[in-house]
Amino acid sequence: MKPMEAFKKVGDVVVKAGDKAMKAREARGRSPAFQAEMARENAEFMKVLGDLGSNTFDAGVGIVLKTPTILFLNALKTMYSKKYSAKDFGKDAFKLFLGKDGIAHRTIKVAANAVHLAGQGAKIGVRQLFKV
Amino acid sequence: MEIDAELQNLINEYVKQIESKEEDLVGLKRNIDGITSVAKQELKQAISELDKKFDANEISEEGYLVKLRAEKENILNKTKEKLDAFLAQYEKIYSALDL
Repeated sequence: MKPMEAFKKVGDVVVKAGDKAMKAREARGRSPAFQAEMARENAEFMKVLGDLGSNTFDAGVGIVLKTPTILFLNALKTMYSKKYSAKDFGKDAFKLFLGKDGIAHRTIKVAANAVHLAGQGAKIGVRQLFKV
Repeated sequence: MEIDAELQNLINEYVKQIESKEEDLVGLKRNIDGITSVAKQELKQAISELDKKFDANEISEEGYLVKLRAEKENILNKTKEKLDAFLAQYEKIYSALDL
């Protein structure tokens, strides 16, 4: 067989294989059920992955801020017991910090959100989150 | 809303503490993002291999999805293990330093 003929033969085989692959791709592209299922699987993967990352990050923030948070909460409680009566607890500022939905009960979450919001390299805007 | 000055000082001090840990928090986020992006890359690779098999008519749509689901679960389990291990190590380091 002449070299040119051999090249042509190889070329034909490659083109045929390429056509076959393209047809298979088109067939898959024409199946809406398959496409929908792929999109669902991908979305589910991203959601679970995102949740895993967020939960780990929140737990990590808890570890990093454990000591300052405990100190803050203890100081807050001491201050409240010394300075404010049960009647004063009704004051808005204290409800905001010490009430069951108060910031003091979710300081870790507030800090975690601050880092998420600020993103890498940006100054943490946590002071803003504490502004009332 | 007016906040008691003493309370405001306490908050300011806490905020200062959080800000001093900023580098650690950003590093933590970067590490977690690194682990999750490896998982995304692994899924992409798995899909590319399944595409090749599908194009070669080695698997059907149904077979493709079965394999994809198995691969997806495997990657997520592996990622969870990696994140748990990372967190355990992180906690160990922080406990040792008592920060």
